[in-house]
This record gives sequence, C-alpha cells and structure tokens, in this order.
Amino acid sequence: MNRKIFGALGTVVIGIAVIAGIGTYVAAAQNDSGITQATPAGSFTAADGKSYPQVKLNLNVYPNSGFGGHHGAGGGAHPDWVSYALGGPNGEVLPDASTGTNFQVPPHTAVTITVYQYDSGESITNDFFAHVRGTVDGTAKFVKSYDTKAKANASPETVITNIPADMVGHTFTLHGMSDGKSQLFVSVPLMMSIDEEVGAAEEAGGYTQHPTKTTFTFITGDEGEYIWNCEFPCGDGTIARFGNAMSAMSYMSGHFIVKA
Amino acid sequence: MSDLRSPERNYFQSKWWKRKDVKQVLILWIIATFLIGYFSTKIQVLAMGSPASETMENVIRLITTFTWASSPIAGFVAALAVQSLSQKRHHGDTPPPEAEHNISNSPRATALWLVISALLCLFALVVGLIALQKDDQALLDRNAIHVNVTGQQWAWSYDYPGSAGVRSNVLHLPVDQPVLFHVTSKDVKHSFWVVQMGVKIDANPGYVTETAVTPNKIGIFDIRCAELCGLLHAYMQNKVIVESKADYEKWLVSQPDTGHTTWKPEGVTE
Repeated sequence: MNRKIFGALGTVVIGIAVIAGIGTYVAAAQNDSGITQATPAGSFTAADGKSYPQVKLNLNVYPNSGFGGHHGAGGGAHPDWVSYALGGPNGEVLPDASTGTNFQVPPHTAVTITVYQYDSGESITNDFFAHVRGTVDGTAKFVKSYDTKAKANASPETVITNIPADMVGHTFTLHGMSDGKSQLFVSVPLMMSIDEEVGAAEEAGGYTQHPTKTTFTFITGDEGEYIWNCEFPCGDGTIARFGNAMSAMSYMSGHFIVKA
Repeated sequence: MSDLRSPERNYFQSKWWKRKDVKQVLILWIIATFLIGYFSTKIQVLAMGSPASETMENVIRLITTFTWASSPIAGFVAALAVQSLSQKRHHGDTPPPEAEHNISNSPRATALWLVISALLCLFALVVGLIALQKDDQALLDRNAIHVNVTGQQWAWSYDYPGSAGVRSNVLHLPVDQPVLFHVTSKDVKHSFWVVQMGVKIDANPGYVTETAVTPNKIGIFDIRCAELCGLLHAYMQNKVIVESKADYEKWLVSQPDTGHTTWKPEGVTE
C-alpha cells in the first residue's frame, strides 16, 4: 500500500515539476525590456481647475531597430523592424538605453508623452485611429517638422484632434482592462515624416533630421496594468502586416503600469 | 479448467440486480448523477456571470438542461470507475472465471442503447433549435438599432449608423431595445463576444456577419475577443454600457461629429 501511495505521490510531484519547469522556461524566454519610470514634472491643472501631479515620457519611433538595448535580452537589433524606443528631450537617439517600451506611471496623475516620429507612413486601415482619443480635451499638440539639430520646431505647433487617415506613420494606443477597474483608453495618431527624407537618411545609416513631434496628456485612474501598441499595421507581410515587430513585445508594444 | 461448482460460477448465474457490486454501482450512480448535475450547472452559471439579455438567459437554461440530461451518463461512468477501482485485485495462479458477457451479443441491449442515444441527440437538437429561433427573431426585428462593430489587432471600435459619424471604443446601448450588430475585421479573424449577453460571432476580414440581442439590464458588461488573434489577443477587451433610452440618446447627441465614414452594411435602409 505504501508503495502505491508513494508511487501516486511521486507521479503528482513529477507532474508539477514538469509544468513548473515549462513555465519557468517560458517566463525566462519571453522578451522583457525592463520598466521605464516616467520622470516627475511638477503639476498639471486641468480645464476644470483640478490639479494633478505630472510626469513625462519622451519616446521616439524609428523605421528600424538598429540598436538592441531597448528591446530586452530576448529582443535585439532588427534592421527591418520598426520600433519605439526611449528618446531624449529633443528627440535625441538613445542607443545605450537599457529599458524601452514598458512604462510605469503613478495613479491619478497627468502623464505627458512626447513622441518624435522618424518613420514614413501610409493609409491606416481604420480611420478611427486617425483621431486623438482619451487625452485631456481630446487633443494633442503637433509639429509637422522638428529640427533635431537646431532643437527647435521647424514648423508651427498646432492643436489637433485628428490627422489625415492616409498620412499616419504609427499610433500610440493604450488600452486593455485592468483587473475589472476603470478602463484607460488613449489613442493618438503620429503623423508620417517626409518619405524622401526618411529613405535618404536610412541609406546614409541614420534617421531624418526632421521627425514629426506629437505631445499629448492624459490622466491616469486607479492602479492597474494595461498594454499599449501601435494600431498601424507596420509589421512584415505576414498576419495582415502584423508579423515581426508587431508580433514581438518591446518593439511596437509594451506594458503600461499604473502604480504608486 | 474452471470449476463449474465454484462460488464464482454461482455468483454469475444469480440474478444480476441482486449482486452486491451492482447495488453498489446503482447507489454510486444516483449520488454521482446528482453531484455532477448540481455542481456542473452551478460552476458553469457562476462562470458565465449574471445574464444581461434574454439570449443569455436562454443560453444558461440550455446549458443547465443539457448538463442535467447528460449527468446520468457521466454519473454512470464515474460510478462504474469508482466501484471497479475500489475492488481488491485477485492475486495468485487461479483467477476466477470470466463473467458471461451476454450483454455484448444482446440485440435488446444494443437497440436500447441506440434508442437512448438517438433520443438524447434529438432532445439536444430540438431544444437548441428553439433557442436559436428566438435569437433569429431579434435579427428580424424592424425596430432594432444598428451598430457596426470593427475588430482589429487588438481593439474594437463601434459606429452607429444614422448618427453624426459617432464612433466609440466603448459600446453604448439602450436597454430593452433590439440591437443588430454588423461585425467585420480589418485584419485577421476575431470573434465579437458580449459575455453577459450570450452573443458571440466571428469578425472576418472582407465580410460582414450579423447577430442580434436585446439587452434587458442596465449596467456595464464585458466584451472580449474569442478568437486567438495574435500577440495581444488577451487584452482585446472593453466594455458595453447599457443605459436607459434617454441616457443613450443623450450620449449619442453629446458625441462630436468626427466626420468618420460610417460604413453601411448590406440591407440597412435607414
């Protein structure tokens, strides 16, 4: 009898060990680019007079992922993959950054994100995502051409609610439920940069000097974990252009953690 | 050579319903049928949440009925397994004689089994068709409002034909009003699933599929994608807000005219 009981227990233990082993392997194999904490930036007063603490994030979108640090140990450089990455305050390229597309911000805070978009673009499949959604006032500030050498706007800054659906480079779309709590949905279209400049800069081994610049602010709710991704199909030709960069975390997607 | 006068031989020749193991199986069968039926329905209903439409109420009723109808079969298998596994094994060189499996050559037993199986299938078919027919009535309702549902990796968007180009990422619906959904996809296959309303239909690129429902409860409910659709499939979910007709109209009017091109599904005349 003891032999039988030990045999049964041994089978259960081995089964649990095998499952745990597979889980550990999968967890270790997944691409984790670390978490970027948003930078505190004073306070923000909304139109209704309510004041919120403010944090900022600066991001760049590139037509390729020529450097690997942003994308985690399992990621790496992929010259043919478009990618988001951390950027400097004036759109500077930060090839040595060790974190990339997972962001953490505090709850009940105004989050201001500035995106320098270095890539070209095309028509988006659903013009719903050519509109600014979920931001303060439903708007974003937009600069069609930012001079990264002069560190100044090369064209005037305008307030936008949408951009032409056939000129979308990428989108920053934050969504997903968080443990049944309040839903956070923010989607901002990022205008394409000038095609010829993007192509010429890539041939020269760099990025255009004049990316588009989009700045938007939204207010976070309770603590929770969401995800964000680009809603422009910008992967390779497979899976309705959702292959490669769109099928791997830390290139055109990441986690968005709201936590104190 | 087996001993024809052995106790085992007498055992198999006695009336089967008087045997100890048969009685054990019968008792276990009754207990297992009740336990399986009761807990399976409870767990399933709990997992599906509180229904927010008559369709979902029908789904729950259907699942409950089917579960109770099939629990005697599951209970019988469980009872046989428990009874068999709990018996002592025979050890030694003189195994008892094998049972006379008259049942395997019995036309009566075969016929009974076929008739019971056929009746169960017929029962499932008829009850299922009645439930589906109720759903079809909502599709044909002339008073139904239309909502276009667009799925794409990994978000849903909704637009409301007849409105001023209103689109939203959260679905708004009036209570007690039939709604006809026209569902499509911009990229790969998705499945539009309004969890507590019992509505689920594929969203296929290049096609428009249709389903209908009448929400009968005010509240906030879940919408999910039920078709594995890529990297962030698990996050392709949002909410449906069911509100009074007045609140719904108020919300619709308050939405800015975004100039969206609302696609018109085939057959919509408004």
